[in-house]
Amino acid sequence: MREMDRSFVKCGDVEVCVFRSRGGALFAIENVCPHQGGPVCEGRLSGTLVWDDENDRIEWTLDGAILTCPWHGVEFDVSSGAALGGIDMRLRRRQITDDGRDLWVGSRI
Amino acid sequence: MAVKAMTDHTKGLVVDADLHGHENIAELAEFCEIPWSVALRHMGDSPDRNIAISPRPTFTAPFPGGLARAKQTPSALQMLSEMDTLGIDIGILFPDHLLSIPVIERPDFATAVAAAYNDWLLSKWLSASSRLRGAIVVAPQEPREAAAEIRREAANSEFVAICLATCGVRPLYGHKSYDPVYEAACDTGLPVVLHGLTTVHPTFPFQLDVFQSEFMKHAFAHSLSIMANVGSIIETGVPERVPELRIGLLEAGVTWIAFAMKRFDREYLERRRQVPHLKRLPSAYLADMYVGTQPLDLDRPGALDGLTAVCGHELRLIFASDWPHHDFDHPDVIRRLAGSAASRQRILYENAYGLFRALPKGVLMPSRADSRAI
Repeated sequence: MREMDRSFVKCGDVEVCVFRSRGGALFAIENVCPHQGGPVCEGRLSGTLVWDDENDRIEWTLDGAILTCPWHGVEFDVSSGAALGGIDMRLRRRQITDDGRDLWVGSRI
Repeated sequence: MAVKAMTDHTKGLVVDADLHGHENIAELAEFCEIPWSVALRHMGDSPDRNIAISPRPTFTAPFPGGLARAKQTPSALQMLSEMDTLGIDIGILFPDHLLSIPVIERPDFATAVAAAYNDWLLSKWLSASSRLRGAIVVAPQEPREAAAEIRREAANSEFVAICLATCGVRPLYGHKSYDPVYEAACDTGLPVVLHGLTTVHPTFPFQLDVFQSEFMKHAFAHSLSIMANVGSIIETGVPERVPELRIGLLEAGVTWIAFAMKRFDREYLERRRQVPHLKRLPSAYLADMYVGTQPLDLDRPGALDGLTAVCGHELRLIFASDWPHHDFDHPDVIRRLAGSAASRQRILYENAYGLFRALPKGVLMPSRADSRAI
């Protein structure tokens, strides 16, 4: 997988998506949004806007690390699974192992 | 020798966040600067000109019948007597006609008459009894002048809040131009209290000429104007820019809170990136604000606790009667609609001490000080 690629795999009844983010880190995330059950892993993997307190202006950040659910637009940081902006939701993440030849999706983190 | 029962007064106290003292135009003139003092004196010469201080257009038909009671309280002594009858220990005075101050077209007149009102209130009402406290009125047309007025009057401990009328205000109170007002509020320890009103004006949400009667204009204007301004305050991140600011909201009822919390949160889930300066859910900011209960738009016993459950937040409700206006609420309504004694005490007494600056303690209406708790 190249950077910013994603690949889906079935783990029992649950569909899991493996992402390789910008920089090369791997993340495995269940394809169910904690908001209303949407296919969150089919959403855009991009960045987001935050407020730069020091310069009192809007700032683009975390490019390649923010997954946005295609149903309602809730944003998640794939590295932590947490929703942004104080929203109390979290992606279900799975363990991911690279043995040099294949990627192995494991149990929930 | 009189025999009196010992009582824990704090359990029965009532603080009323919203009383209205009627402005006497001729008296206001004495406190106003030239040339506007002359204008007020001329207005005072003609009783019909009172309305000119609040240029509130009346498009509705003059329906016959209706309420015969005078809806104005013209003096502190009369207000204290009426508070005794209603069972109110301490009341916060807001203006009557001057709630229309944001729609006065001349900013300098609005600023001058606001200052005159504040000095008049201090002299004629707040000095009469420590049971009467006041809200500093400012003209939002000139935010820097408004901030200066807050700093001038804040030295008087009789003022416990700043009144921001929502009547036709433009821009809405989230706009950065009001930051000097909010900074002055924080510097002086005073909360800002937004007060709703009905008027007809080309500014959202006051385009109420689409209705034929006060029946529907009044139903919408107060609540929508508070909601619009709260939305603006949250949208632009006032609670993040000025985190120490305490905000009160009056005369929108209470059921709108559930709509606003749920709707704003729902929008935030989808559009957080449009407001990246927000660090919390909109409902969390709203839950930090203090909301006056009047006009209570719930009716079942214990309903206020049900509202809290729907909102998912402990709401900071404060009793507000709106006396002597036509749609006032008696404190007994709170006793019926709040399910527990603790809830009643928070709404009738405790929360007001969290909002207003240094409310006096141990001040009671004469009958309560004399005898018994209610």
